[in-house]
Amino acid sequence: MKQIKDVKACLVSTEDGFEVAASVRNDTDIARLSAMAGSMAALAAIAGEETRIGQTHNVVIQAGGGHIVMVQARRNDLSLVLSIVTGQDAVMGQLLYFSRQTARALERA
Amino acid sequence: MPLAQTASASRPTLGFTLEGLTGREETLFKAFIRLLDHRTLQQWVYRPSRPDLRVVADSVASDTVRIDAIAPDANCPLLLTISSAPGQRQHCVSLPLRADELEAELNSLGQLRVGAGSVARPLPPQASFRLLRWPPAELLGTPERVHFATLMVSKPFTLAWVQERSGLAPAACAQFFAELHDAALLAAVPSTAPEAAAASAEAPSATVAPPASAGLIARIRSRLGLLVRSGPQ
Amino acid sequence: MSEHKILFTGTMGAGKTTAIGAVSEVPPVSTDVRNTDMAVDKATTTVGLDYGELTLEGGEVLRLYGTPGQKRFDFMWKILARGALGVVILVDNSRADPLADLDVYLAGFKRLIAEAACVVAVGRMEQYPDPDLDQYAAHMQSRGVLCPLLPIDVRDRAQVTQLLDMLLLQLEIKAEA
Repeated sequence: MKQIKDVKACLVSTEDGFEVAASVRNDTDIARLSAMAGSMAALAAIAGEETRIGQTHNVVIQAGGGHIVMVQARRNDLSLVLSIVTGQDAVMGQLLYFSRQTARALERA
Repeated sequence: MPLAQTASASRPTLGFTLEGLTGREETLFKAFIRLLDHRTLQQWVYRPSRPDLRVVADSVASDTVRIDAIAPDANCPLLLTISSAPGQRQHCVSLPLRADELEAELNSLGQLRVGAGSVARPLPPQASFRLLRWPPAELLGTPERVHFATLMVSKPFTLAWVQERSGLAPAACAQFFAELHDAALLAAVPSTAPEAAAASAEAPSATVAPPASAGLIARIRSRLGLLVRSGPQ
Repeated sequence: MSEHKILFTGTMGAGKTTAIGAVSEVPPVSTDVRNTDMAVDKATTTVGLDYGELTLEGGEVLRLYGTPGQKRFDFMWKILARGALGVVILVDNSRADPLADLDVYLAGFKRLIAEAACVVAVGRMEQYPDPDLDQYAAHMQSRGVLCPLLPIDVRDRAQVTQLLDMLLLQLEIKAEA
């Protein structure tokens, strides 16, 4: 969390929408975000398959007030979704890099 | 359990008997009596021993000395003829039996019997009902009845309308209707209710699709291999 | 608008994916993922949607959507309900409190039910006869919902087709107003 500028929330959830771990600085509803992350990751995976662009890496939402990046962390026993919510001061490149790093760490853990 | 009556507790009871009708016609007539019970000014019961009214078939009526129903003798039963041919005979209902016609006749004859003087004004011809809840399995025995009940869930209806839409024989419709009524599953709806409901309906919501067209529904049915049902013409 | 959709909803394991598969002309697409909820003995669960379709004469498509069943996915219910012709609520009578399950969907799809069409179909009644359909009817009356109610085996195409028929009939009646 400390490494990403302007991060508001960081969440790890199961692919079926249950939270595993969370750290939030704002009033994000963790349960709902967990469920949404599961849905978005699943729909993104299908979009990637159906358009034949390969396995989806992440989902990026860009909004006026900030960004959300969702990355899947696929382990043997379980698939997780890492969601990071930032304000508008976040640097996208930094955000994508660290979310990818964290997801890999989750996969290895 | 019959619905609570809206008439006063002192609603008179009048007896009727049936003569010359087929078994099926008798069953149908009695079903109509039950169906109309909450609307008739008097309560009608089958009472062959001391009838106030004789309900007779054409064949019986023509053999009977015409009773002058205008000035009834209290000891002499009134006459209601069930005829398959429309006639000039007073107090006659034609086959197939219709609820509104029968109701008007019963009220008229009932008033004569009770001695109210003037003939009662006929009640509105089409009585509106709504279904209170999905009927129990034992009433729904056949796919036709399930279809019939499905017709009733969307908005208030009349017996005449359901008969037309269901494609079931009128007698079967009336029978099912009577059974629903006896099971307290139907609630009478004042005839102004549909207009009131329409007036107070919310503006169509942006989140729900506009009503599906008849053409679309027919195409979906066709694709699913379902019979395309004929709607009202 | 040449797009039309019907929703299937209900708890995990109630048979949404199966029901859609029974009538869809394409194998249903499903965003099923591994189920981590220990309380439910099912390997996978839908987190996005199940999708099937029927092509109608004239090229229009009738889309069949299965929603995720758990309440935490109710944002998907709102999204999917928009513009839908109606909803089929599938209830699994083998669960601990099927009437409470039904309540979740009656509330979650309240607007769609009031404005379009709905059918409630109860599965596994042969092995699990309680609650019986009368109890369901009374329960729905207490919730102010009137719609057809019947037992179902979602593996049987004819029965699923009957559910859709009852939805269509309600739409026809409403359109006649």
